[in-house]
Amino acid sequence: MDRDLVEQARRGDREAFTVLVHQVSDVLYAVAYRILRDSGRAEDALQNALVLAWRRLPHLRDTERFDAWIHRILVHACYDESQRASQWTARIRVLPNDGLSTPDESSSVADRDELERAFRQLPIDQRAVFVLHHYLGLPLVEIAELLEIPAGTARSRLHYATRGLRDALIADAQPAVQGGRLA
Amino acid sequence: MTDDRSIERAARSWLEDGPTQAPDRVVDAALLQINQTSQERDWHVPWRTRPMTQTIRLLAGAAAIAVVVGGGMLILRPGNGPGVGGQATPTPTATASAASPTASGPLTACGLISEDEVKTHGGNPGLGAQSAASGTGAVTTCIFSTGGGDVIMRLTYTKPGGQAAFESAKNAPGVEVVTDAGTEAVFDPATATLYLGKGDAMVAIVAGTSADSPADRRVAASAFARIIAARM
Repeated sequence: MDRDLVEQARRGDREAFTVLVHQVSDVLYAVAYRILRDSGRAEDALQNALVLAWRRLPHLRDTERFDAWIHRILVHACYDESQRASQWTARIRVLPNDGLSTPDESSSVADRDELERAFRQLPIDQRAVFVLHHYLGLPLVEIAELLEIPAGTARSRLHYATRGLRDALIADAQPAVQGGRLA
Repeated sequence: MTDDRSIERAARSWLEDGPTQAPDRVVDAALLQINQTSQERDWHVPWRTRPMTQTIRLLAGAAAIAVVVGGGMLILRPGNGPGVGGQATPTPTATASAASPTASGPLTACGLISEDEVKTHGGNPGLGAQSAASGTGAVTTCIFSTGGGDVIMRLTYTKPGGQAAFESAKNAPGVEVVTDAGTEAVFDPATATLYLGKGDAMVAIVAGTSADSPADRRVAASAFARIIAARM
């Protein structure tokens, strides 16, 4: 990240911020989509995060931390979107796949569908840590710093996310009728 | 696919699927909204903008001692003020002492320019100007802000000791000589501060905000400087 650009944007230079937006928006959108699993909500989260980042940029002390800082804003925008979504779908446990995924030779369609269903059942804060770790490849210490949470909390969220996925996949694999619906 | 390793492996592969580019219309919509949105003000004031020179260190030390000794003498002087155990008297508020530049008593930063003058010359009279004073003795400060809390100008008045402080400011690297301030003056773009020197007095004026360019801040400070220089 160009530190001068961040500094210029911090001082109110909209042109500099526009350049920064073009540099970061792809990765931010990719992360938001993977946390929320919904393209519409990911778009809203990205837009809200970018506007909020512009407003709060003068408060950023260390311009070298811009990347981590804007990711933190994005993750919180995802939390907000998820909360908004849960108000509409509070009673729906399993959401339909929105069809944006493309087939991957390394895993079967059935596996991906199972993962999709299992992942959507995880709490949003666990999803965020899981995506930052397994998609962006960030170490847990860095995730903890980025999200301003203790390292132990980041570790336990990742642990519970993995366990939640496993439990959901096992439950999904049961060839029995569970909770009134066919597995 | 039920042990942690295989789940993680499959999940990584699965996470690779999906979009990797933000839709242009979303980025454009965000930029449009940003163009109509103001940044929040950063109220953080750096404690020190450049390393202190030996001269400034000595001056600051001397000023601190003068404040302590002078304040002590005022409090302990017999027959003047309540002293220890004496009768309490009302303390004038900062705003009251700041409102009139012609008020009697030692000149302070807030006495150098009135709220009305700041309002008139501050570029947006409709926003008003309120002053808040701080400091006593050799170094006093006055901050003028709008009714909405935005800082218009920060003034620091130093006397005695102003001459040495002004010499130090004049010799800082990168300062520009200001010729239309009504007295000897320099502007330091690094700190956006306009320094006025007259006799043993110095006034430091910081006008505008960090969102403004140094050139704009110099122009804003110069407008106030011409009024202040006549009263130093």
